[in-house]
Amino acid sequence: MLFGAIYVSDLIAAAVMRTEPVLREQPLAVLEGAPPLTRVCAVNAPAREAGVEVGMPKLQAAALGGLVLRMRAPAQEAAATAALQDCAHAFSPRVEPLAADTMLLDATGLERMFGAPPRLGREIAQRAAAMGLEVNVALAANREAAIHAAQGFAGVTVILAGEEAPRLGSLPVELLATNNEPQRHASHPPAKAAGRVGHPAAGSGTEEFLQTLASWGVRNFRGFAALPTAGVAQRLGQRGVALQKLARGEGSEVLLATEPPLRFVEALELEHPVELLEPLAFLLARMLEPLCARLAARALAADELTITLTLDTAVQEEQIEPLRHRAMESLKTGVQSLNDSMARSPNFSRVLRFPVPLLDARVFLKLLQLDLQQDPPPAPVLKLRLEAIPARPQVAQHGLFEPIAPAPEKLQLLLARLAGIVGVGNAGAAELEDSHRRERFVVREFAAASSELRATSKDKKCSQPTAHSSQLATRIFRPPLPATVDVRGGRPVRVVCHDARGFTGDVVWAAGPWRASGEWWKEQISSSSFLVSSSSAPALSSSPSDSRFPEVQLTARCAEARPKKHSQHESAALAPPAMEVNIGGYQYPVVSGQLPVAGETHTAAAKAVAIAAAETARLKPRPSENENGRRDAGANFVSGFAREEWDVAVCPHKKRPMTLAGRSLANEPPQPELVLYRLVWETQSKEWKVEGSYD
Amino acid sequence: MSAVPALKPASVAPLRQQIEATLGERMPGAFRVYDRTALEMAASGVAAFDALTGGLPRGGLTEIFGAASSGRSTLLVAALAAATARDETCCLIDAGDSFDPESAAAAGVRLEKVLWVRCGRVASDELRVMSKSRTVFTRDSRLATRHYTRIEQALKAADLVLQAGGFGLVVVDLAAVAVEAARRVPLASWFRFRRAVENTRSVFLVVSAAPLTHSCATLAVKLEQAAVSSEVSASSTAYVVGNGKLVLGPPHAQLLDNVQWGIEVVRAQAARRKAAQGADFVAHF
Repeated sequence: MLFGAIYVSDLIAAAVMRTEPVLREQPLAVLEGAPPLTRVCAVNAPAREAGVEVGMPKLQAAALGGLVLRMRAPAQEAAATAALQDCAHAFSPRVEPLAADTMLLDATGLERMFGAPPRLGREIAQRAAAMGLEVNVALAANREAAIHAAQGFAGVTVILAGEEAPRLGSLPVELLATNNEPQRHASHPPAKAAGRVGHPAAGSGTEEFLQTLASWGVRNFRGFAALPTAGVAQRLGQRGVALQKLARGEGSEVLLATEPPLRFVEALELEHPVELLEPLAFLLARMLEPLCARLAARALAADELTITLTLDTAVQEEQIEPLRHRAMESLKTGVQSLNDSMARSPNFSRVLRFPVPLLDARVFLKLLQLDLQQDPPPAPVLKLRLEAIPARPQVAQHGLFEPIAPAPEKLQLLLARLAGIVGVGNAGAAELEDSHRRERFVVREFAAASSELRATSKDKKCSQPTAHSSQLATRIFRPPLPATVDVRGGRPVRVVCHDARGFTGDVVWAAGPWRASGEWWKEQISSSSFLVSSSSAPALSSSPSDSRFPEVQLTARCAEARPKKHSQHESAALAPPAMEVNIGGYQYPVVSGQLPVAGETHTAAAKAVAIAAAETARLKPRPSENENGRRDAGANFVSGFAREEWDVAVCPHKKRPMTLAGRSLANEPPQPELVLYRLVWETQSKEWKVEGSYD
Repeated sequence: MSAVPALKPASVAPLRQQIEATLGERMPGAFRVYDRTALEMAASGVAAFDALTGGLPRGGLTEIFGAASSGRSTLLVAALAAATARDETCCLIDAGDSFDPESAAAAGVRLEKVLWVRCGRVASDELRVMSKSRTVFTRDSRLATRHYTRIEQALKAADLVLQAGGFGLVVVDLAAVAVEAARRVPLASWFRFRRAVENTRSVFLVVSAAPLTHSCATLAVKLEQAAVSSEVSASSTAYVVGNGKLVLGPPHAQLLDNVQWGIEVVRAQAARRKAAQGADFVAHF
């Protein structure tokens, strides 16, 4: 059996250097405790060489020139421990976290994948370096030998079976005593264990043990292992015998593998608040690199990335208020998710969700930059926290003949950049809604369709345009252009559009009207709103109730009088038996009977109603005209519909040049030019509008 | 003033060899002969268009221009339908925000495959594009913003889309913006787009009311209206010809039935110039 131990010396300092790699070459002292009791709790190697010691007061440490002081950051230490664990899991599924700074892994059989043990050790060290940690790696045949070698020797150490005693002989006996305290492995509070390693404050039993060995002149493993076992048992008891076995390189071959929940969090606490986006981007890059390395170590990717920025507490209330407002707006639009507590706290949080799992630190950084550019935090930043939600990376087998599609990473960047140019929500995929409203579509987030979403051959066949003719396309004016329309004989004859894109022209051809009500049945309307009247005919009305169309009731009334309901018999005697009613944009006549239920397929219902209506007379409402030939929007008009649509061909009036290149155009025939427009008469606002063109 | 003596063909060849031998190593690009390979063509979805032009060239810039109701949108939608039917990802940069998803879906466009970029929907005073990276996290910093017009948005979006790559069809629709504004787009922009799309399998399509790309276009097509007809019944058809004279108007509640448009090739590769220069295609409602 082969055990591998990974050890980070001075984890507290290493966690700081992991987020600030530039401090590796500088003397660093990490402080803890509230002033005035602030003391050094960890130092790195250059600081130790400079004479800085653990436990030194801050003022004394600060007196040393060139020393960098940082406050202890538990979040960064937790992230470093998690990174160490991810590093171990990158090589073996069986990992035992011994302490915050020590991981033990089962390396049996890894030779086939990574080669000989020395090469495996180097691979582990390189992987840890990619995560920002400098580690000692030891591989041995038993767990204790591997742990002692990792904690005692720098770099990669490989101890073959049977060579434990001579290889471990040079290690100091303090390592044996402090590393094998009775309560050390019983529970592993990470911070406490890390603190003990950084500051080996041994217990009283251990101190007594070490004093005894020192009085015997025993300094290292070799000397302790050479003592007679009976004498050790007589003077130091069973613990002494057990420690002597360990000093001889004997150990157990038991590994208690655990699988903690996956959490990929990186945090960074700043000494000074950051106010600019550029330095913030540098900090984010520093956090994203190890985060992606940790995800890669687990063969995972991220499908969601949350950034939480702790803002300066001195931020003004007036600066917090826009944050709240934006948080609520984000909730409404669904672009980001921020809860109320976030909005009220000085934390600023943004969530990036990806349609496909991504694993690229540069892509993440660019997306975060673009997002923060769109919606920057309102105050300087004191702390940063990044959390990635892991997901299985998308594995796709690309083929030579597959249709071209943008790469997911590039597509995400493209969408974020487009949102910065045209605004959030203005770049996406349109999706039609099952509705009869005008502009019945929503713009969803665009995602490259996966193979499951690709259309079947049957669907493709249905969607293929015909070879000989094309579907006439419509171009929509958003918003519709206001227009003045002259009506003669119930039909538009002249259109004057007042917009900047406007035009004036004669209508040479018109078709319509198509009456549309929109989804009036979903609105709270009175019983008289579904009403048709004309100057010569009595009115017809129906009373829609909750969700169903009621039986049509025919009501007789004068044009000026309020609608009055009558029984169907009475109304039928007064009014024509049927009329044209547009329900939700479809045009079919309504007869006395049950109308289609909202939400049902209208085609079948419409057909049934149409068949029934075929035997009845049809009412043609005749809108009146005033003296000028314009449509009168008074009572003598169809009032039960929200809009009427007309398709018109307009010959625009244009000023033709009289000459062209010195040639008179007076006798030239006019150039053929017709523009096909869709005119809309809004019955509520009583306005004509040009809604679009057939192009 | 001395006249330049005319060079005889026999004396030109050695001179050319001498120049090439002298400068060929220093400036190899100047004497390299580039083979113009025939571009791969993609079906446009309109048979008459494909018969005339061979389709839409991949790796080239295609321009379709014409007046209102000249069939440009119908051709655009047909191209989108054909591309999405091939399972290609498409991008429509809609400078005028005039795309109608409903009619496009009716024409067979798979909307989930089309990235629709709607320009000009955000008011300029609301759109904040932060200046570079020097951004202070304060309210005052938002004053340091830039505003883009519709066309600027469209051009920037086109740059990004072409840079990202992977789209089978990229359409820049400038038909709904004012021709005067569209003509202010410098020719260098179109040249940049053409260079960006070269050596890719993307079709880059520009739809406009007037010719904009000029020599940058691999294929330029002009569309114009031929006739509009409305079928009154199975036996009779009413035509409205283009001079504005009503021949026979349709009755109430008759749908627009057929519209006929003419296609004229204005610019094409040499191999296609010899082909017929005009054709008609019909769209139905």
